[in-house]
Amino acid sequence: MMNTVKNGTRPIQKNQVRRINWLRWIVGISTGLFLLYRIILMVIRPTYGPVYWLGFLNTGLIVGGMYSLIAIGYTLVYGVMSLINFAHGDIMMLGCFAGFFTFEFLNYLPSGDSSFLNNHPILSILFAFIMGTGVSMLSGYFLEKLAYRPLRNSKIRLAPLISAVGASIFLETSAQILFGATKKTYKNPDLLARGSGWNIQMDGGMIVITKTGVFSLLMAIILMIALYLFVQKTKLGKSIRAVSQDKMTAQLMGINLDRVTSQTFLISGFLAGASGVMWGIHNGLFNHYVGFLPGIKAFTAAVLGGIGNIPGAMVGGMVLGIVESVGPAFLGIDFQLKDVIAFAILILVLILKPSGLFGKSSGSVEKV
Amino acid sequence: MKKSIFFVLCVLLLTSVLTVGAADMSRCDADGGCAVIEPGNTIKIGMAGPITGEYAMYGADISDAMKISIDELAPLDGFEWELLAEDTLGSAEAAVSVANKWITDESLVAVAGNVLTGESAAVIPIFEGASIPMLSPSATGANLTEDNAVFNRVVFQDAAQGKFAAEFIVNQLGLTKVAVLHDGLDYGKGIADVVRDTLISLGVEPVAYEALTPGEADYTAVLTAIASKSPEIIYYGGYTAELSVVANQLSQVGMAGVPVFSDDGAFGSEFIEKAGANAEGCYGTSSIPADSPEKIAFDQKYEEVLGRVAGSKSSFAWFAYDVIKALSTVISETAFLGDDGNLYVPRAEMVNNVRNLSGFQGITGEITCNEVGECNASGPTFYIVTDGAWVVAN
Amino acid sequence: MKNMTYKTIQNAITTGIILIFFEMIDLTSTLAIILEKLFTGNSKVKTVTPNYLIAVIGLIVFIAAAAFTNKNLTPASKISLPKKLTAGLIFGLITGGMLALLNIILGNFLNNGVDLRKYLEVLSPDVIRNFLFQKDIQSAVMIFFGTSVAGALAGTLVMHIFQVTGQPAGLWHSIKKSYGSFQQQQHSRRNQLISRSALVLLVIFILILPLIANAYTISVLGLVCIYAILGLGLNLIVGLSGQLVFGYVAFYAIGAYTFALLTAPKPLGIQLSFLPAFVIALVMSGIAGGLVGLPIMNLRGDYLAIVTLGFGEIIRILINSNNLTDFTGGPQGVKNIGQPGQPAFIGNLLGAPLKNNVWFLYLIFAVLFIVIYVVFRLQYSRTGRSWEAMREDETVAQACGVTTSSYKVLAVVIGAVIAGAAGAIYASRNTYTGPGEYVFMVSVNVLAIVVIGGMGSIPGVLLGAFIIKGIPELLRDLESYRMIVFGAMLVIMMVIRPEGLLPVKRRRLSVKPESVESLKENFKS
Repeated sequence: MMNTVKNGTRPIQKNQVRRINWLRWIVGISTGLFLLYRIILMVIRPTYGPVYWLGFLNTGLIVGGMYSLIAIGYTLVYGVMSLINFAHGDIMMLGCFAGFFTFEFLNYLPSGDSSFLNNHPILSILFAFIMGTGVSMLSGYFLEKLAYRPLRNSKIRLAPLISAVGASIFLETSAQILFGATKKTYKNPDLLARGSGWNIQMDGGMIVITKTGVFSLLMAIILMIALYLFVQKTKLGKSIRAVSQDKMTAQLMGINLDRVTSQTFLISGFLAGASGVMWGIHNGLFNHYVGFLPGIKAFTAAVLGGIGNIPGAMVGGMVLGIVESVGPAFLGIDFQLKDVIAFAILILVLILKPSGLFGKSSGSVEKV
Repeated sequence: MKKSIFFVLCVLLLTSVLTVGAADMSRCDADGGCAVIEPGNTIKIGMAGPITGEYAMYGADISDAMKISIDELAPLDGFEWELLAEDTLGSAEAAVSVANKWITDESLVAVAGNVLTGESAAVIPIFEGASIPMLSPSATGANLTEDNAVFNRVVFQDAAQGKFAAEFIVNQLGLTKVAVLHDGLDYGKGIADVVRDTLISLGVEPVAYEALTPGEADYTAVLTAIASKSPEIIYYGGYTAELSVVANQLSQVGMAGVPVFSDDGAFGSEFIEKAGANAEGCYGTSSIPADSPEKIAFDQKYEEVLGRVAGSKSSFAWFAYDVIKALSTVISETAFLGDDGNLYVPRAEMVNNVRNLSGFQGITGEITCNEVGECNASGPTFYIVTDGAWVVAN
Repeated sequence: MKNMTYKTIQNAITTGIILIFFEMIDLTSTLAIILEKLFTGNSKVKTVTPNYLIAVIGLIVFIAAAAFTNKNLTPASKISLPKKLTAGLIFGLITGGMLALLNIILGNFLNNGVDLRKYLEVLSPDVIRNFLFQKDIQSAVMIFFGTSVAGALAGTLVMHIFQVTGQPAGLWHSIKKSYGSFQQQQHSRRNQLISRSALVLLVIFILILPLIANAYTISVLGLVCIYAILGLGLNLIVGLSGQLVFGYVAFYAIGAYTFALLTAPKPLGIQLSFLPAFVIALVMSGIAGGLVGLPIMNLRGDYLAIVTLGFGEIIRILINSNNLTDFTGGPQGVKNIGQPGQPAFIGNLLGAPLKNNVWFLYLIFAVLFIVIYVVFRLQYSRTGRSWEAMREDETVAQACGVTTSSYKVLAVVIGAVIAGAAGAIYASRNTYTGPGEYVFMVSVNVLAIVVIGGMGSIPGVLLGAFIIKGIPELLRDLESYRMIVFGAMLVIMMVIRPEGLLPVKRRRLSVKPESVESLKENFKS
């Protein structure tokens, strides 16, 4: 009896493995062929001039930079705690509000013949970033202490996730009642006025590379490089990497798990706050709900790159941003369906490479 | 002798009073019976909408404006008015719960809502079963008033303003390269669809028909796609916040100077404030008469009570104010005082009377309901931003 | 001692921050109104009475101080009463000081005619005047200090008395003890009979409930039951087979839309009757489950979660999109969805047909019972055991001869069919459905139901559904604050009981080796 079962299951197992590989091949080749067909079609019968492609790419890079920053926050926390920090988008929202209030205050503050905001724009932007990141860091720190730390050793892996959902609902509704549900607009200093920038004109069309866009992309890249160096070179970075590889051994090596976790939340809060202020400066419009959509997108980006992997999150965010803005034009479909394309890309990538773009195949996992 | 006459008179008087009373009470035998308000209780008008959550700005603003309106009402036969503002988070699921809660309340007479189209569609069958009339200040979805007797609204149905707007663009402005953009929600898409269809029937094929995702705030990708078709005008169906971003980002994709034509959901001073110089030359739609004394009085009161300018949170505050006023008028006409001191409002009559409401003068113009419950009788007026202010466009 | 002072100050500042937060969102006023309603029995209170506001602040400080004393000034630490009272005094002074500071600032804004509502929406002049108890700033500050100190001292004192007498804690322990012995007694035959009859009574009560409840209760009960069905389906996938699915709403939406489009006059005009449409809806969602399941067989954990999330979003966007509007009704949704007719014999039996909503609630009950039965049988079948093995360790399960990939797909398909049933019933109950109802938060809510109830536990799912969908309805008195309270409750519930409210027994056995020993002992005796 036992023998038949064994003999019965074994070949099925093998078949299945083969079938999955077949599936991958089919999906991969057909996607490739389709892309090739679209590219040829685009060359033969272009629907958009080159300047518009530049425009799509520009939008994608800026949005992608913000996704990347938020995604790194997810990935860091996931690496250390194996937790999907559902309230991460709301931490970003708090940072966005803090930056808004800083700008409003500085605009109200007189200095010389005009406001402090316009007389010292660089200083003002710096203040906004300090306030935004500060508020986000604090809220991330306390969130971890109150809602996640008691659950860290729980056997139910999903308990912290539901706790995070509760925290997210709490933060969102609190912000709504405190500040009102009206959509607010950032008051930028004149130096970084929204919409102003460098015109690029090409055969009839024209697009503008905006100052705010360049600023946020540069900010995002600088912060990402700084973070990468930080995680690779400093002692705290090393302990974060150690913890995300093996909690037990890391503790045995004398790493204080509580402290590393807190500090991870501080870093991820910093990045979320920075992206919140960037969102405000570049896009302007925001309210209590601002963190929800970017949060989900950034989470998707983190998985796309291989969750727990910092370069993966960076690349994932960029890829997602570019796919969202270039994808619909490339495939010639409605822009309403850009999220469909984004998620379809995600599913495709995971079918072809089940642990994300940069993730190592499960088993010996090297996170972060 | 005198005593007997007195006695007879007394009996006569008593019977007459009783018969009058009995005749009154027969009005409650119709379908749905009567709403009963006992002495000390209040006449209740319900308002359900998203007071928290993603669409909180609409629900919260409408309930605030309604509170202002209901506080102004004088007691009816000694009965005070009360607004029951309930939160639905904008979901049909919670709206159904709220509706079922209300139909068990004997003193709830009418519903000033719902706020969003989706939730309204979900609760109409419930209120129809209980014969409770609805008068919505904001649900504009295309086919809401079809095949039911209870749902009415004071805002434009999408069809009317969309058709007029498309005709205005083609006939008055003489433009032929039109791009249509909407926010993918029931309100914006409803209007945009009508605009597109009317344009096609006028022989003008829209050069682009696209939708954006509200909640994100970088629409340059979709605008680039529209820019590549180089339209002369963009029709936008949606709300103020997104419209202002669209207007601001037009110049980033090389469409500076291309006007945006928008609906009444996006009309108001808020747009000019948010879009600044980029708003110049854009068209808007509104049915609200410019600055009648009542409207100015309401605007002042609104700012005093709530600390913000009317129209800054949503464009429905004025409609919300009028809805309560109109409903209270109908209730006052329909209600009668029973012998037991209770106030009775016959529900079936109430439904009819709201549907037959005519000639009510509110701050949003004349409210006269037609046979399907579209109550905004004044036609749309188109405005254009000139020198930072809305001016009637010709 | 130094440590003690530090802790006192830390706790006092935390309390102060909570109080300031409450004032900033004006929750204190709402609480004061609720307190007054409870106290006077007058349900028409609309404006805040200063005395009740004082009482609310005092109560919050009292509770915080009592909790602080209970946690930090334990009898074991042997701190004398005067010292405790000093700690209480410091506690009260700090929280009072923080509150006073806030109100001095707010009061000054008020007196200078600054309108704060542009940035902080609830703080209208009237509200600030209420905060100052309709008095000038100085006397309000005195009141704040007085209330806070009195509350803190009372809290410490009451807790001290409790600690000395050991009373409520002792009582609680004895109740727990007697309950424990009661539970042990339940194994005896007589008690089994009692619990059986209690179960029968419960079932009878549930069956009668729709007849006596009002429309509101019926509606909320129906919603809770629909979410319970959803929870049971997700419980199979998450709780039993251990796969994290984030896009469960996709199957719910497919079930609802299939049913809606097949029965509604517009936009397709097929107008099937209830039963065939229901069956087709189940088949469609099952197929969708298979389609999602097949390509993701080799994904683990959170990758699976995000792929299903993506699938859910794709479904919603497609339903809403311009391209499919003619087919799905677009953002306007589908109206006039068909409802099942009532069989005539019910009318004959009862004299009159049941009211529509009552009849529908029975139908939901019936589906719920069927789903419970199916899930129960599955859970204790070979399949269920394979799922659990897979959940505990995929590699080991594979080694033991469980073909994990097919069992994964099977779990997703069955879960999808159950979600489809819930969706079809939901659409039919409301006679309307639209894309706005199938947002990501629905998936999150269902996941919360599974986790709060206790993963893999059927009674847990029922309780969880009540908590997630019933509690927000019960909290309606709190008006716009209800979602704040709900969010905080979720966090607190998880922190207190991470394993869920009614965790499944077998799981408890699997985590504690010593309970296996006790089980062996039980078998011997």
